[in-house]
Order: sequence, then C-alpha cells, then structure tokens
Amino acid sequence: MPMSRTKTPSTSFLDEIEQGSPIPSGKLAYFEQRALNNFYSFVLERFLRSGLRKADLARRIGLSQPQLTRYLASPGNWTIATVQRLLLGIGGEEVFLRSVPLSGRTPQNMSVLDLLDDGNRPSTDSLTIELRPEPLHA
Amino acid sequence: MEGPWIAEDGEERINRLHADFEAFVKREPVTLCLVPYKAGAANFGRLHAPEEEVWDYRTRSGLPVIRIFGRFAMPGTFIAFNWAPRSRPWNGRPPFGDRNDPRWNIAKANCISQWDALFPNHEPVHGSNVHAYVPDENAIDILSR
Repeated sequence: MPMSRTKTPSTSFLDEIEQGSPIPSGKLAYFEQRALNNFYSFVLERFLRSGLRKADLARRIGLSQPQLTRYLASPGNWTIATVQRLLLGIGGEEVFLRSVPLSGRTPQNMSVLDLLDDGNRPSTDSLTIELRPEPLHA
Repeated sequence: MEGPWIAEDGEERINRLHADFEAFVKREPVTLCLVPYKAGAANFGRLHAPEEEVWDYRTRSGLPVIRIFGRFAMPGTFIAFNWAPRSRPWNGRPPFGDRNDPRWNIAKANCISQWDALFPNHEPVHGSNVHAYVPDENAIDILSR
C-alpha cells in the first residue's frame, strides 16, 4: 500500500504581519532586537569614524566615563533618547526615522549570503530602519 | 537555537539572540574585552585564564544575561559550544555566580574538550588586541580610549 503524504501548507515568516493577525511574541522580539542593533551599529560606526575619545564624548553629553562605556558596550538599555544624545555629542546630528513595510517581502531564510546582502537589497528580505542624521549646522 | 523552551520568555530571548548573531555575521560593530573580569556589558569577554582562549558572548537585551561559551577559530569566526544564564535561573538551568563559582571552570573545560574533539589540529586564535579576533575596524576594545 503506497504511503500517503500530507503536504504541509507553506507558511511565511511574515504571515501574521501580512494578515493582520496577532504577531507572536518571539517574532516581535526579533524585530525589536534588529532595530535596537541597527541603532547601536549606526551610532558605534559614527563614534569610531569620529576619532573622539570616550572621555571627550562623555564630557560633551554630561555622562561619566563609566556610564558612557556601559552605553557603548551594549544597547540593552538604549532608548531613542540615548541614540539622539550620543549622535548629538558625536557629530552634532539630529535623528530622523524612516520605516519600510515588510509586507510582500521574501521571507528571511537566514542564510549568510542573505544576511550579508541585507544592506544592499532594501526591497527584499528584511526590515530596514534608516537613521538619517541631519547636521544641525549648515 | 531550536526549542522547545521551558522558560516562558524562551521564544523571545532566542529570537533576540538570533538578531544579535545576525549583527555579528553582518560584521556590524561588536565590543570585546581581552581582560578577564573587566568586560562589563561588552559583547565578548575573554575568560580567565586568557591563554586558554575561551570567550563568552553576552546577550544584548533581556535578563538574565545569557553567556555563550566558545572560541575564535579564525578572525571573525566564533565557535559556540555551551551556554548558561548569569545571576538567576533561566530555562531550567541554574545561574552562574561570581568568579569563585566552580561552574565557570567546568564550562571552560567543557568548551576546550569539545574544541579538541572537533578541531584536534587547530589552535584557537591567540591575540593581543581585539582585531586578532574580529578582523576589521568595527571591533571595539571596550577598555580602550
């Protein structure tokens, strides 16, 4: 007797998001952390390029050096206010946010290639939250 | 990183960890600390004794922080073997305590023995600066500057 096979319905990582149904907490956490990591990477890259010393930045934004070291070590306690404060101190910049819809995108398959391509293919896999710093000085 | 997870927040924590690992794979900035006991909230800390080259990765968000033990096989490649929560129990595992807790040494020994089984002829990275472990300008020594 031939074995019957049940075909599993195909599901997308974005199903709940696209269908407007409740989004599982794990998926919410994933995208929250991606956003937090994006902010963190953005700020750290700018800090590294600035050539500023931690002591100088700490003084500019009214933090002790140990406080600043904790902020730079990890984004666990960051808020939008933290991002703004750091960018203001690093380069005199103001933050603007832009979000991009996930709906209609190819599900993230987590391959290394896709991850590495993430920044170059804004219309495909992943959420992009772009931080556009605007200089306060012309 | 596959469940099922006993902890109520298991899915959330692991999905956050997944996002953290993505950031590492994409070579986004990471903080490292070469000096044992000084890593604070750095992403990677080298454990005592440094010559053993066992590191832990620390989750960026959520409590308790989860420590993931491993070694760098080459610059930018971290091989993770085991994990433990810090400071309070999580997902059925007891937390590691302070530096006198013998479980740190057990975790390191476990890490080294798994490494030796998998890579009998390959030494982990030995380095005197963070760029030996993460090979670009986005490796930040948390104790520098």
